[in-house]
Amino acid sequence: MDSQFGTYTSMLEEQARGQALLEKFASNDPQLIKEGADEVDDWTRLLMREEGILRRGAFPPIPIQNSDLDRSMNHHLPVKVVDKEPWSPPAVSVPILNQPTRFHIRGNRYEVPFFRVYSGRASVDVAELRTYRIDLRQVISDNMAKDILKEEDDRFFKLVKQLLKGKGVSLAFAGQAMWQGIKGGITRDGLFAMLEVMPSAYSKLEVATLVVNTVTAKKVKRFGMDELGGTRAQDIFFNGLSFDQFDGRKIIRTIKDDIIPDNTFFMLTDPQWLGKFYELEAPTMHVDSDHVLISFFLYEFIGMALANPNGAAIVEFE
Amino acid sequence: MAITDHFLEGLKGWLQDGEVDYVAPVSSAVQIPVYAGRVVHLNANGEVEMGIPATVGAGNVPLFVVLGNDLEPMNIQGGDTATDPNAFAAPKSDIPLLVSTRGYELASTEYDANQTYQPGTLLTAANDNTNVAVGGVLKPATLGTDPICGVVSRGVGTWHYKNALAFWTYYDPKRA
Repeated sequence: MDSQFGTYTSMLEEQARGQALLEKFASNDPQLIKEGADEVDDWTRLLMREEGILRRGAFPPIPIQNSDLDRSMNHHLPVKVVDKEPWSPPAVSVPILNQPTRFHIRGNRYEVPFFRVYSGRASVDVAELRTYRIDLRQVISDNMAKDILKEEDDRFFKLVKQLLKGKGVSLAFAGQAMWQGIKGGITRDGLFAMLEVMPSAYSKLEVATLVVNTVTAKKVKRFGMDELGGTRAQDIFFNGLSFDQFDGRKIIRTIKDDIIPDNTFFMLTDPQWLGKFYELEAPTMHVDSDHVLISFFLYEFIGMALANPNGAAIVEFE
Repeated sequence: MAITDHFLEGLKGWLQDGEVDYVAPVSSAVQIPVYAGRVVHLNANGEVEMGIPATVGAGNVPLFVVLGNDLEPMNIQGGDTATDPNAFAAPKSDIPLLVSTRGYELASTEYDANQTYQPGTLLTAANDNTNVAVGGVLKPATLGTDPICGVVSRGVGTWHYKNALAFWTYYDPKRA
């Protein structure tokens, strides 16, 4: 049996209903049914998890349906073909007795393949839950949701690296390398130089979102008054700095340093200039029960592809 | 190319509780398409290579390809963004596989059609990453001499209007 999940926020609400559903398959023993709020104090968390980088606004998914998919004679797998902006020549100034040069209207396309993301499949005999003072099922299903979102982030940023090829590699459509190194560590000068990478490329795009890990974000707090350009340094020393904005652009800080390494900024433009992230099936919880055995897992069906190398950039501070 | 050119049909045991499946990327050593129905194994890096190595006692468990990378969405060639202004980046899919030790009855289009397959015929597949005619293709085997990946069950039959060889999956490494 499946229950449909919408956004992550509504997934938490759905989990409350899901929990009631799970309890239907388990015993009615009140020892197994605990109020969530009271349980927080009875257990210790071990691993920090967070919401998805993409779904926090970096590159949110677009819901898509079967009718939006494209068919092929050569395969039966779901795929979406997306048109790219067609080329056109620049305007020119000419004297009289001259006609405009013709060009044929053609546009390229690219394909977006789809894949499932699965959490692990949790299984348990309900008797094994009797002595726990917390609802393990709720804890695990909550973690499953965040793990799914982490896998989305991982696939996406691997795709960004695939698009940009490697540090210092010049890209044909961008006319320059979009993955660069800046020497001298993280300085005010370096941060502003970082923002010059994207608009220097062929498409002249601007950075909309920067993604950085929490360790790197803390390095900005080391800026002295001369680096920051004011007395804010003293305020930061005592009150901290959220660093969620730079030059008016959104910053997403993440704990996922296995995806966003230290001293590295990933920069993304507006998604419509970069590629597509489709959601064919939103995160869904599947539950099986067999007498006293319960198992459940979370899954979703998504697709992504990136078409414009000008729309993403990576800067490593060395 | 038609959708049913190369397939692995699950006659018994597949898509059911207790199924043992696996996913793995394709090794760069493989120079041929990894068609559905072919036999593969994992190399030391956990990557798919064709057929089963004929190494005495080697633990190369045979795996059967469920969806091949000849299907475009499994292996989208977006091009090289360094040299092609129209290139794009799309994720390549790992290959979904069935593990032979589970004991399925399958039918595969990827068999040597020049051989005879009576029920009980042992099967193997050549470890060849470059020759599409033989790499991972099922053929008769000799117990002890060849690594074994299956035993013919109901023989050659017709599924989706194509001939396919039906067999039970099995595993026995080459013996000294």
